[in-house]
Amino acid sequence: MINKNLYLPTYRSTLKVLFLICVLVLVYIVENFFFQYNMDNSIYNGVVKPIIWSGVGAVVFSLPVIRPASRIRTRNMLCFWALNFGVVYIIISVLAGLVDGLGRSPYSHEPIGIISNFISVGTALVVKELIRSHIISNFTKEENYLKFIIIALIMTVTGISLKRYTELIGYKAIVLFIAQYFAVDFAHNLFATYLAYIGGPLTSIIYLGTISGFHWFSPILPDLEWITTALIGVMCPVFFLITMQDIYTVIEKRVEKGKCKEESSLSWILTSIVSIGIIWFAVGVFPIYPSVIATGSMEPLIKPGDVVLIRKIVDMEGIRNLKQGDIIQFERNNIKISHRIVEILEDKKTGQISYKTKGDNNSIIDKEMVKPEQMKGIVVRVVPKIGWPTLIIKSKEGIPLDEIIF
Amino acid sequence: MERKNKMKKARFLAMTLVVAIMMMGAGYAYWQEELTISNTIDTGVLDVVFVEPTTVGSDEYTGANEGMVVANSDGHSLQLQFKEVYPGADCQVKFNLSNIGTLAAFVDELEITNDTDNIADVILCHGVNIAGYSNNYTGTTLADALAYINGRENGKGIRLENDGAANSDREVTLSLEFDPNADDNTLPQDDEFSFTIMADVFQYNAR
Repeated sequence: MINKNLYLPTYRSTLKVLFLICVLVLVYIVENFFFQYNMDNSIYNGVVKPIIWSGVGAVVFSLPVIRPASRIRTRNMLCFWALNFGVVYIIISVLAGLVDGLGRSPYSHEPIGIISNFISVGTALVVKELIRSHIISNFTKEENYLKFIIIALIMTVTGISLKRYTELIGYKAIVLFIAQYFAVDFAHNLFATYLAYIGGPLTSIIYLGTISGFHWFSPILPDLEWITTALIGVMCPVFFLITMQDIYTVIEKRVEKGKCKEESSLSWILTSIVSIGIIWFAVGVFPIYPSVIATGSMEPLIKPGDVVLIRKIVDMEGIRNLKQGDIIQFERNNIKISHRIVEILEDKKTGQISYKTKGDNNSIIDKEMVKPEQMKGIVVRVVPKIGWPTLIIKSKEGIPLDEIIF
Repeated sequence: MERKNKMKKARFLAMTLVVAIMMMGAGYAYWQEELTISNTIDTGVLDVVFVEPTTVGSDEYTGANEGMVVANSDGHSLQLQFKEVYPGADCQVKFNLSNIGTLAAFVDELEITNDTDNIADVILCHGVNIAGYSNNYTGTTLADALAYINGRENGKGIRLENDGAANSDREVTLSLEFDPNADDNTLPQDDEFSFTIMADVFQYNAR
């Protein structure tokens, strides 16, 4: 006969959730206020941190486990997919690094350094995922994205050093921090939370462990622009989440493969990427950006309503490559003007370059010279007429004509 | 139905993040609008040299005017050597200060060095002529002459324009005389003496 006192069912408990969150916060405070800045880094990372997390791990491990949402027979498949997604993320990062640049890893690659980092990062990772799994399994039985978001936020906030928050000064620094660190970590944590929900701690450990392993142990890392980091770091986990949903649905045989009437995740992903690409192209993220022409100063080549594609000039090499006859776009008094270079002047004493410009349809040369710092780019192509909707919308705003010479 | 709602929620969350990424792109484009401007700066050359030093002795007792005072320039200093001089002997020392650098410069703080025999103390200077400057020298000693030169242009010294420009080269003439009252202690007989005149050069806008 089964003794009820020995085999009590495990119930979900909000108290457990609060307890675990408090443990997370406590460890965060202890690390950031007591140890990290008052101790040699190597001792902290190599000794103190693993001890702290091991102790926490012992406590968490002793807590009764609530099984994840998926069936036992599908766990291996979920672990396999978690590994796949981790590898895909690394591949995409490296491919982006081939465009933006690769750099040498700042972490130690000596055997002692590798072992030290493995122990330090590994213990923290494993214990955090155990905590995450306990929190999500106690917090919700159903797939509740609001609760996923809350858990992901908590894990993100406690996963970023306090120093990063305190060093934020200014609007730009905050945006860069969110783009490079917070949003990326949040997206990863969101997907990891979903993985922990469906497959338990092992799946999230495999996913995050794969990515962390590459980050800490690869001798070469992608050196990405912050916007690229944000794009890949946010969109990849999000797409993984959507894809994993479909995969999980099929694996659990809730819907037969191919009979899912929902729009496929692939088409959704492609739509998102294209949408981002269009918006970024329009606002000028890429080296070539569009600009609508409002006046007829460059007729007959460029008419009002035409869109010109401008290749950005970002360094002195671009400035020096300009020649007479090039059509450039420059900014003067917050107005972007596209005119042709008629003469290039160089001050012999200072070496300062300036440009005389003129609209093809204007009767006189522009009265002010264009300086390099006013330069935006060079016109590479004209697309006729497609800018008319923009002109119609903007026709309500007055265009100051005193800068426009006829 | 419930599953569809959950997937819609996931897509809504994803859409939110996509919009956030789009907005970050606008910020990136705005902050990226900077042009890296670099100028190759060639630093100028500051260089003034003594050139073409000559001496003209006017004494009738040496038997030869040449050799009484020999001026040699190694470019950055002027050496004066005195032979068979005697109290009352006079000569003219001419040299050019020439700016061979790319910047206008002031020549200042002319001073006597390597005067082991203190011979400069017995040399009088009755006239200083600097090409391009009005002559209002009133001193009597060589030290006065150098102080006079140093005091041109409100204490900045002699201005020389950069190489190739007008007034990059100025002739300086010193009319010297050995003190007629010098004795054997201050101007020993049968001896040779020498000293060096050096100058400091300053960039035209450094003072």
